[in-house]
Amino acid sequence: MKKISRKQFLSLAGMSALTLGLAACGSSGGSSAANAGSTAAASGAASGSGFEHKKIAIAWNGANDDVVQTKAHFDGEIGELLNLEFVHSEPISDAGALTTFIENSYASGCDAVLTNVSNAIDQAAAVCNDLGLYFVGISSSNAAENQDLPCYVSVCGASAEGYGDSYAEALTSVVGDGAEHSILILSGAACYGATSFIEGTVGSLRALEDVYGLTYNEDLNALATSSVQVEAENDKGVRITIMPGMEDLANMVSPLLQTGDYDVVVGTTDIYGSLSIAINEVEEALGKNINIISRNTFSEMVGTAFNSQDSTGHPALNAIVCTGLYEFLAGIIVLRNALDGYVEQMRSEDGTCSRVPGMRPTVITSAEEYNVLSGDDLPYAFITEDEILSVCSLLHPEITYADIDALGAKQTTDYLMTKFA
Amino acid sequence: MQNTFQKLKESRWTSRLFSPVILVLLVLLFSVLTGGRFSNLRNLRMVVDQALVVATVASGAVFIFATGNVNISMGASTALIATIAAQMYVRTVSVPVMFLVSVVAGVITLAITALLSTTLKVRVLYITVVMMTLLASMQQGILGSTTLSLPYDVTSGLKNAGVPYILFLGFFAFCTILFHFTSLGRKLRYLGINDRCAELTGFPMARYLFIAFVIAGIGVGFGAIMTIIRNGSITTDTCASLNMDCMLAIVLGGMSCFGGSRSNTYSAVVGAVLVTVLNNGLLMIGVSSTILQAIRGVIFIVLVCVSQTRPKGLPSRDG
Repeated sequence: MKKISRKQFLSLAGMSALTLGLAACGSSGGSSAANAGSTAAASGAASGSGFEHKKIAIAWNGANDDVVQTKAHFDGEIGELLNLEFVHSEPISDAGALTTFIENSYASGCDAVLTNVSNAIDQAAAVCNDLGLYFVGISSSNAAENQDLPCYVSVCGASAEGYGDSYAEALTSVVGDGAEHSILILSGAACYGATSFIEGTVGSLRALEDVYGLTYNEDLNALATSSVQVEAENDKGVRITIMPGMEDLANMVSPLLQTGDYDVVVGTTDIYGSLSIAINEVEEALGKNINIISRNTFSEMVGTAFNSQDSTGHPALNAIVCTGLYEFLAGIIVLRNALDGYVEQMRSEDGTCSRVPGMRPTVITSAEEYNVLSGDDLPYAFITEDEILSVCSLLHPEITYADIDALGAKQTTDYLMTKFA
Repeated sequence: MQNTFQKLKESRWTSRLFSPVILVLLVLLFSVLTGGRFSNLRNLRMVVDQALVVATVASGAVFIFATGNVNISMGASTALIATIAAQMYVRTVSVPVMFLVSVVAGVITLAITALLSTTLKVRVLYITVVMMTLLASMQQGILGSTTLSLPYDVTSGLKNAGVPYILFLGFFAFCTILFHFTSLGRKLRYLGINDRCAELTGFPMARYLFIAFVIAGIGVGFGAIMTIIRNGSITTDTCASLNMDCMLAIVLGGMSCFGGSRSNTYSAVVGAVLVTVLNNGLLMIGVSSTILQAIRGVIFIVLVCVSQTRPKGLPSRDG
């Protein structure tokens, strides 16, 4: 009996040490909200910016590299600049967990909430309003409910139309070379009604309409939301196929590519991550280049893809549509202004929450553009400190949400290249 | 000395009181560390609100756990029932219809699960693995990637009227009376201690498992209604962690994973509140989400290890 107890004790002690060790590594690698707060408070006071120390809770819908780097940027530079402390959630996927996080954040002294859990934004706004917390949601759609609640300040995030325009730009950069192309569009969750996927697909179809001067036999929305593989028949006979779904893409798409009929694949999701190997196999087998347009963020994998060539000697990745570079920052600025007493100017003139689409998804079509925009942590610091301070109500009381929207809207790829090249 | 410690450890009072005592100590600790903010009435009410769904569904699940079986489709069942009930509200705009559909669908779903297990003579665990996938795909088929939302004035009205509290208290009282003050509870615990002995005594597993699942189905129905009221919207991610939360609550509350004599309805409630107290308290004292998960994990491991030793001398499944 004594021996078993010792084993149990050792197992427990080992498990505890391992877990706490991992946690310590995680906390030193990431950033503790408490530490960030104290740093921010000290810095805010030292810089004499006049911002009162406030605490914002951010509910995240994921926990990838992109999120980790964005958190670090907020806890560091943005926290110091605006004298803000951030409390970050674990990855949240449903309204219940979001409500719990908001309640716990309120209990821990947060003043405002920001979230990109887009399927529960209007409900979260109501919970925040009940608790007296200012709220900003990140979504590609406008608020559908509760817009007139006084604490529901704004909905930030690229509009569905913005997604469409970005996909059109990305596809035009590939098919606008005067050559004939056959295009496979992977519409992802468009068949389930997901707006950014629908708009990405419709935007791609519109781009082809413009480039080839063609007319479709069917309505674009019907084609985009089709739940089965469909040919986008048109008067110019350009081969355009739309395939819905997000599961098991490699096995679904490979047989189509092996026919050799397609030389452009457009993905409304991160298809480079899931399909690059399958596409490369087909390229090697057929000796034919296949162009890839994918929805991605900045990462080592994407950087390598832009800067390397496939087996046919062409770029391994031709274009990406990159989301989420401004929406969180816009939300933070809106909340900072609301917390500084300018909430009316951050809401619409009609007394409802405002809409700040700001920057549409950034389109990157070359290694040169990628290398400039990804250098020195720029993806998470596209907007300079001066630009941020220029839309802070405490320093410029005349600022409204429209000015924050305009600041984001002018951050096109060309503008950013000029700013940072 | 060692014998005394062993006797103390195996005492039924130790297992019954260990988790409630830990819960009280945690509340006191967090109250001190937050300068009393943790124990203010509003925060305590939020903690209880957060624990209600898990406590309700887990209270019903205790009946299944007591027989020595594990149902891992509680979360998927609740999510599907919530989807059906919310759909029904959208179509009829009737709260009573939504309530009725939720409870009836909950009972039917879990009754089917029990019947599949007993008629096919497949262990409950394996059947519920299949049911979990099946129910999730049914919900996916109904919802797709859309969000099913109920009007805020309806959900907030039901919340402000205290409906979740009424449902929970009513169901908990019902479960406690059935489980602790009728022969049904004793028979279920007996089946959990040794199903062969129980069957030879005249308590067939199939019949009592069916009853246990039907009672758990009522809990799932109530849990679905409470989920709708609390969330205001249903997606395919709704109740994604509910199943694990329920199992964790039951085990942390001091009930054995193997069911039997240490089964109690209050274990589900104590466990559910304990998990919520930890989440809320750790965040209030400024622990970041990264470390919060690790600390929570360590505490859970310790509690589970301490509370899961089975007393010797009783007829057991292992002989």
